[in-house]
Amino acid sequence: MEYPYIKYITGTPAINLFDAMNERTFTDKLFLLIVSILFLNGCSNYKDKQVVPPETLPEAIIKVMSNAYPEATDATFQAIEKDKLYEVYYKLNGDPFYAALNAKKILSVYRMHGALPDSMQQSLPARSVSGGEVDVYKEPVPQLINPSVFYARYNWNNREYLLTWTKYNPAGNLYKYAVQLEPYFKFAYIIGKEDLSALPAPAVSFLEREKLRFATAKVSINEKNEKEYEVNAYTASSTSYDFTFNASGKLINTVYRAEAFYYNIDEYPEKIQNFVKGSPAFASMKILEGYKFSDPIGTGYGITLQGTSENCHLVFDQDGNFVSMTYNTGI
Amino acid sequence: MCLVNSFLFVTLSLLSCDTDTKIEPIPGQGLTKAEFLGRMVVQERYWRIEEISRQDEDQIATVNVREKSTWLNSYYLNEVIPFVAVQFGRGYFGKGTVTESQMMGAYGNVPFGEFKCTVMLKSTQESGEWTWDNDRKAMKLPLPKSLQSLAGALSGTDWRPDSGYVATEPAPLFRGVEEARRAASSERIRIVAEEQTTDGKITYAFIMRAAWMTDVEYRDAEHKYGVSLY
Repeated sequence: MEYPYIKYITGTPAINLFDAMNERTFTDKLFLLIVSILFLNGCSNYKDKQVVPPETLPEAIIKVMSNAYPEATDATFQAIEKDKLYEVYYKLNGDPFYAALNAKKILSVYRMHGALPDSMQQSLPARSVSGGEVDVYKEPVPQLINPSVFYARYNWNNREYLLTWTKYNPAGNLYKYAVQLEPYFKFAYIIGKEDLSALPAPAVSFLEREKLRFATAKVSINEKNEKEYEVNAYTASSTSYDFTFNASGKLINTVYRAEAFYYNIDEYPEKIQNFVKGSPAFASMKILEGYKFSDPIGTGYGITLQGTSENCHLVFDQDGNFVSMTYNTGI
Repeated sequence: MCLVNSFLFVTLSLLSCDTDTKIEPIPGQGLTKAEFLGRMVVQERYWRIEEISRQDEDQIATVNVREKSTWLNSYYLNEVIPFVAVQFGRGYFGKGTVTESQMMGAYGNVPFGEFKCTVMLKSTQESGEWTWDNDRKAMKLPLPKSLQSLAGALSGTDWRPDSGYVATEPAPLFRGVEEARRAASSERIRIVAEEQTTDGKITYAFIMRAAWMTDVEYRDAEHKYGVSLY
C-alpha cells in the first residue's frame, strides 16, 4: 500500500529518535529514518514548499509523538505550520497510521487502510452522488464505539469530499450506514472558548462586534494545508449559531442575521438558479430552506435541498459561484 | 473662508466614516418576499403590543393600551395586553412557526430604551405555522390566542378570527440585537385581522413593536430573565 508523502524505512524504531532528543545532537545515525520536513513559507503560500534539514523538527513535537507512541516506527513528519502544527505518517506493529499534532498534544489519529475493502463496496454513495472515485480509506483512533465510523476520500464532480460512514445500530434500521459527504479535509480538531485567539482576527472582531459568545470551533485542514473554521457561538439570549470562516477570516457561511429566506429556486440570483437547475443531482430536489447572509466580512448564499432519502446543503459566494456541498443519505 | 470650512467639514465627515463595519438597515419599501421573511424570522425578537386600531371604512379608532379605553375592559388592558409576546420562527418548505409566550416588561407606546423583562417559559405555546399568501403578497399567520380574544373583544361579537396577516408596511428593520442597539430606535409591524360584516369589512390592526431580548439568564426552569431593547 502506498500513501502520499510516506517513505517507509523498516526496522528503525522511532524511539531512538526520541531518546536522542535529549542529547541535543541529531546525528545521521539517529536519522536512519528520514524526517523530511516541508514548511510553509510565510504561512501563506503552501505551494512554496521547501525541504529543510531534520534538525529543525521542534523538540516539543518529537516529545509529544514519543510520549504518545513510543513504539512508532518509520515516522515521516511534515510541517503544516512551522513550529506549531505537524502531521506524521508512521507505523505501529507494521500497520500504517497518520497523526496530526501540535507542540502540546496529538490532535487527531487515523489508522490508514488505503484501498476500500470489498466489504464496503456495497456501501458507496448512491442516489444523486453515485459514481465517484474512492481512496484513502481510514478509521479514527481510537475507533468510536457505537456508532463506529469510517472515512474515505471521495472524488465526485471534480471535487474531493470526505466520505463518512457512520454505522447504524442494526436493530430497526432500514440502512446499514449513515453516509455523509463534506469538503475534504485531512484532519480536524476542536478548540474551546479558551482558544478564541486561535481564530483569524476578522472572525474574532466579528464575534466581538455582534456580542456573540464563542463556544467551540472545529478547525479542519485541507490538502493544501489551508484551515477552515466551523465556529459555534451563541447570542446573549442563548440562541446558538454556526459560522464558517476561511483561513483569512472571511465569513463563508452562516444563517445568522439572514438577509433573506428563499423557498423557491427562482428567487435566487440567476447564476445559482442555473447551477441548481442544470445539475442532474440537485435539479429534482425540493428546497427545504435557503438564505442569503450579508456582512462586511462575508456575503453569500445557502440552500438546503431534500430529495428522496437524501439531502444536501450548498453554499455559494456573493457572486453566485458554487463554494461547497455537504450531503447526507443512508445506505 | 466659508468654502474652506465646508471643505474641512466634508473631509472630517469622510474621515469619521467607519466603512469596514458599517451595517445600515435598508428601509422596508420594495422588499422582496425573501427579504421580508429575512427580517421577520429572527429568534431573539419578541413582538409586543404597542397600539391597537379598529378601522371601519374611513373611521379609525386607536386604543392606547396603557390607558383606560371604551373599546377594551380592564381585564384585557391589565391581564392580557401587557403579557403578549409573539415570535416568528424558521421552518421548512416556506412555512415557519408562530409562538406566543407571556412576557413581563415594557409594552405599549413608551420611548425606546432598555428594560428588564421576564419570559414565563411554561406559557410558551405554538399558535401554528406562518405561510406566504401569494395573492396578497403578505405573510399569513394563525392568530395567537391573545390576539384572537382581543379581536373578539373589540368586535363585541363572538367572532374569533383564526388567521391574520402581517402587513407589508411597516416592515421590520433589523436582523439582530446589536443592529437594533446601534440604531437605538423602535421597529414595528402590523398584524391585521379582518371581520366581514353585513355592512362591509372591519379591520383590526395590532401595532406590534419589537422587544429584542439580550443578557438572558436562566435562574430556574420557569423563567427567562433578561433585558429587552424596546
